[in-house]
Amino acid sequence: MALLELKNITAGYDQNIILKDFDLSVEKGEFVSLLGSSGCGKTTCLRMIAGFSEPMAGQIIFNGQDYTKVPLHKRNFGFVFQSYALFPHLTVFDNVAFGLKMRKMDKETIRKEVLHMLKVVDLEGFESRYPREMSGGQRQRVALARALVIKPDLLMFDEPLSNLDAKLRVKMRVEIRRLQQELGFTAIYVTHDQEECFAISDKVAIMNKGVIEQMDTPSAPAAASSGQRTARGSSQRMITQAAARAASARAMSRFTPRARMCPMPSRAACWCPPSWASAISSTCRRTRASSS
Amino acid sequence: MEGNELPVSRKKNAVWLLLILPGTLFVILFMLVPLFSLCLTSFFPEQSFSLSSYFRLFGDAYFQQTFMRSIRLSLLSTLMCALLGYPTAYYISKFSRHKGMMMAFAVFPMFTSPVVRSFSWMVILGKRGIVNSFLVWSGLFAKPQDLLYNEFSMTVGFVQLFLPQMILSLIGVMDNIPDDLTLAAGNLGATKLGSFFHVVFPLSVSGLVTGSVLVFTGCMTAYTTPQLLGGTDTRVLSTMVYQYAMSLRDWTQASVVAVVMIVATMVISSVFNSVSRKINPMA
Repeated sequence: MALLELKNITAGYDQNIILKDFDLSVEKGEFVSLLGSSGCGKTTCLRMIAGFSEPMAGQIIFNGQDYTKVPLHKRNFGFVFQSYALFPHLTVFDNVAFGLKMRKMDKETIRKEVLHMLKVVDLEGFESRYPREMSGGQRQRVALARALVIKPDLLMFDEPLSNLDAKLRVKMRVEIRRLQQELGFTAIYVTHDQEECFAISDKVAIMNKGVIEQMDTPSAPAAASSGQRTARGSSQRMITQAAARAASARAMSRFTPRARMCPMPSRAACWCPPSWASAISSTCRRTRASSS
Repeated sequence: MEGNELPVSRKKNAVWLLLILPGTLFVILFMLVPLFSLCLTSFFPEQSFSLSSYFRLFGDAYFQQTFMRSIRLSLLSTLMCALLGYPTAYYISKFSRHKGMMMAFAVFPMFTSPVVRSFSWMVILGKRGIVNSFLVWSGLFAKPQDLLYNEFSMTVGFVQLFLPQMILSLIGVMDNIPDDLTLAAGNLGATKLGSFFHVVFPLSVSGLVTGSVLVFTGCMTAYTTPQLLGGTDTRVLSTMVYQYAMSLRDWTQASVVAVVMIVATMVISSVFNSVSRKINPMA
């Protein structure tokens, strides 16, 4: 049986229905990504699972129990915010210790657990810093440590890497995946970056206008896109793009970072979205190879 | 390149200086100079330096009473403003659906002058005012109580006068606390009350301090409210200054009281600040 199951969920605000008859199931230990353009309901879905909002109808089943009405502080779910949401008035240590203190653990255990978790996310020696004294990537890792240290039954990520620069984004997603496989937690990851989610997940759910159009392993949607599926608007286009991007991402991994920054014939390249960079730079390499 | 840049930045500095010049001149001419001469007057009662007027003042039982009353009433009013203003600001900032309207209501009293407001309190708290009529009618008291011209009416007046300042500075700070922080606290296992005390409150302390300093200095320096709502036996420092200067024509003593007022206000305001720094070191 699935660890988490959403059944016939309807959610939204007043007249504005964002999710309708929404179903999702996540197995234990799985890394599931929700992928979709902005406004498709992926964040709404995630926040509802976390308990930040209640569904208008439907059921959230977790581990065989009805979690629909369980208040958020009793869920034992971790959540990594897009904004990190670190407590600005607390040190890194106290930020990470917050969840354990709420669980009324004794001081010595808290200290041990926090220091261990800071070691895991490679932030040893940063205990007494304040969030504003750290870089974006470091804050991200504090947020991760804070969510992980409570040993959550489920860990949620709401576009956690979107505030980082392209290089750090790749590094952090590798890190998150490594931690997930080491610690074996179940994760739901929301993003609109196809390359990112294809690189990190066990399963990708492609969402459009409040429904999951397709949910499969990262390689499957790419294969499916090659022809036999009937075109269905944006999601089809997205799958095709995603497949292309995943392919170029695989190719990219052999390149040195410098290749990304080679001079471009077109001015447009200077401010194109980072996810295009890989495709552009491979073109660029070809151009350079032919000219030399 | 480097040699080229230096004059440019100097030119920028000159423009920048020009911008602050009018304000600086104004402050120097009309605030620092008078303040300095005020201090001088208080230290030179008879052409030569002497602290005698200070000793005389602090030895005076009437002044001691007035001084303590000023501080006591200002602190009490500040506390009342904090107690009344905090929940109001919290509601308006985090839960209100008609925030603009609620803020307009909160600030509305500031549109009328303190004189008008004090007169309104006279009507409300007088022997035949609404409050006394109700107290007698309901049988709680046999005859009308003395609600006016005492410390009670002064505190009421102060609180109403300065509550908007407290609410405004609190809302300003609370608006800057992202909702994600309370959600994060809840997600980490904090109850609603827990996330309030561990996250919202420490982060709003800076607003509470700003508001408290505003209210406290306001109460210490307010003149109309204590003059109209206080009695002859409930003088405060500001009315005392007026009394010395205008009734007794003793400008030296008036300036001594003024200097004491300034110092006391500054000392207590900085105590507020240091308390807040203890609660939230990063504010």
